[in-house]
Amino acid sequence: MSNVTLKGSKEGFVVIINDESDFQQALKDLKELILKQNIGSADDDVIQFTIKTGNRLLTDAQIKEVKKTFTEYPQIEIKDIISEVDSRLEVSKLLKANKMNIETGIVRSGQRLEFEGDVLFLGVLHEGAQISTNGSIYILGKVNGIVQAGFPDNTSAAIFGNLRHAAQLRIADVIEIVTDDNADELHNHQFAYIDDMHSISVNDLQDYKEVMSNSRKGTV
Amino acid sequence: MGISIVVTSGKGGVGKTTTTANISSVLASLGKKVCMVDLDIGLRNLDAVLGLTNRIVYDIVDVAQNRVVLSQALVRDPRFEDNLYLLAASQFADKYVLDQDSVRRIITYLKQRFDFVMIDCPAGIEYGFQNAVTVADGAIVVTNPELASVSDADRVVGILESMKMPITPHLIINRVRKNMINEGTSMRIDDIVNHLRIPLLGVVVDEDDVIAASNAGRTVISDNNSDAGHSYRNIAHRMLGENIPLDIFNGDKKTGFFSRVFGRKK
Repeated sequence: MSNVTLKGSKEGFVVIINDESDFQQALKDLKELILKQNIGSADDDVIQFTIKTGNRLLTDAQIKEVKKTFTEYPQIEIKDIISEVDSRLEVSKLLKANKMNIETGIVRSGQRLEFEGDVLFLGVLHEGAQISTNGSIYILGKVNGIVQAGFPDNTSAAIFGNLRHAAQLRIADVIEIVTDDNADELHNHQFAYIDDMHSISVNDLQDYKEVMSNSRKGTV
Repeated sequence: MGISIVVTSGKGGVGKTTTTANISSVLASLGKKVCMVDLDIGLRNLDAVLGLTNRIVYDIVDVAQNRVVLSQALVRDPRFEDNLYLLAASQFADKYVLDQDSVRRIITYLKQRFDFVMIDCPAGIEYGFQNAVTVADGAIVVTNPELASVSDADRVVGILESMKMPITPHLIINRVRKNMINEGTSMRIDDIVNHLRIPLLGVVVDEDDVIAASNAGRTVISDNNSDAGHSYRNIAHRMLGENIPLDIFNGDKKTGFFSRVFGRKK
C-alpha cells in the first residue's frame, strides 16, 4: 500500500494517509499527489478533501504542515482531518463529560460538591450547601440547598425530581429562587429547564421530550 | 493514653463552656482523670464557670511560650481530689500567639497524663476553632433547638467530618425548653437529629439552676433535683460506654392548662 491514497466516496474526496508510513515521506507523496491532479482554473469550484489518518493521531504541528500543503492551492481545501484513534486525554475528558455521577452522602452547610457530567443525587443536600455540575441533575434525595446544573453555560441542562424544598435552582447563568409563592407550583416528577425566553420553567416529566425538542427548534 | 475531645458549636452562646464544665465534673466524680483546656484565648470563662479564677497563676500561653512547664500551669479543682484539672486560657494575649504545633504538643502531653482532655473551643470556625479541632480525637457538637444554631452546627459537623477524626462527632442538644417543645413552638429533637445525622449524646433542658450555678462557680451535676444535672450525668455515663436510654420527654408529660397559666414548675 502506498503512503497516500486518493479515493472518491459518497462524502466526496478522501485522502488516506497510511498510518504505517513515515510522516515526512507521506507529506512529500501528498504534495506529489496534488501536483499530479489536473487542478482547474481559479473559476472552478473549490474541491474539498477529507483526510483520514487511520490509527495515527497527528500532532498539532503535523496538522499545521498538512494544512500548509493545501493552502498553497486555492482550488482545494481540507474539509476535515479524521483519525480512527483519540488521545487518552481527549477520551478521559469525553468519559467525564458523559459520566453519570452517583452521589449518596450528606452535603452540609458551607460545602460545595462539584461534578462533571450528569449527577444522580441520592443524598441529602442541607440548607446552605451546593451541588454543581456542567450537565443535568437528577434528584431522588432530599434537597434544601442550591442546585446548579449546566455550570457555567450549558443551557440545555435540566434539573429533575422534587425541586420544591430547594433554596435555589440554577441552570447555566439563570437563577430561580424558590420562595413560598412559587414552591406550591413545584412537585415531584417535574423538571426545570431554560425556556426560549432564557428563564427557568418547570414542567411535568412526561413533557420532557416535547419541551426539549421544541426549545431546540427555537434556538437552532 | 487518654482521648481528647473538643466541645464546639460554631455559634456562640449555646453552652459550650457550661457543657465542658459539667461533663468534665461528672467524669471526674466517676473517678476519671480529666483535664479541661480552655482555648478561647482572650475571652476565657471556663475558669469562672468552675469558680477557679482566683487560682490561676499561669495559662496556656505561658506554657506554649515555654515560660513555665505544663504541670505548673495546671489548676487543680479541690472539689474533685486529684481528678479534675484546668489549663486556663490567657486573658491578655492575642489569640494568634498559639499555633497548632504548640497546642498539639500540649494536648499530646496531657493525653498521656489524663483519661479525658476536654477542650473548650471558641465560637466561630476561624483560627482558634481550627487549632482546637485539629488536635482532638473526637468532638461534641453543642446546639440549641433553634434554626440559627442548628445551621451553624451543620456547618461545623461538615468541617469535622472532612477532618476524619478517629471518633465521629456526637451531638448534645442544649437549652431545650420543655414548655416550647410541648407547645410545638420549638424545633423538635427528632428533626434536629435527623437533620444533622450524627449520634445524639444527650439532651439538656434549659434550667435556671444551670445559670445560677454557673454564676456561683458551681456545676449542677450533684443536684438531684436538677433535670439538667441528671442529663449531664447520663451524658458522661454514655461517654464511658454505658448504654443509657435517652430521656427525651415526649408529649406525655404535657403540663395542664392551669399549670401553664399559673406558672411553670421551677
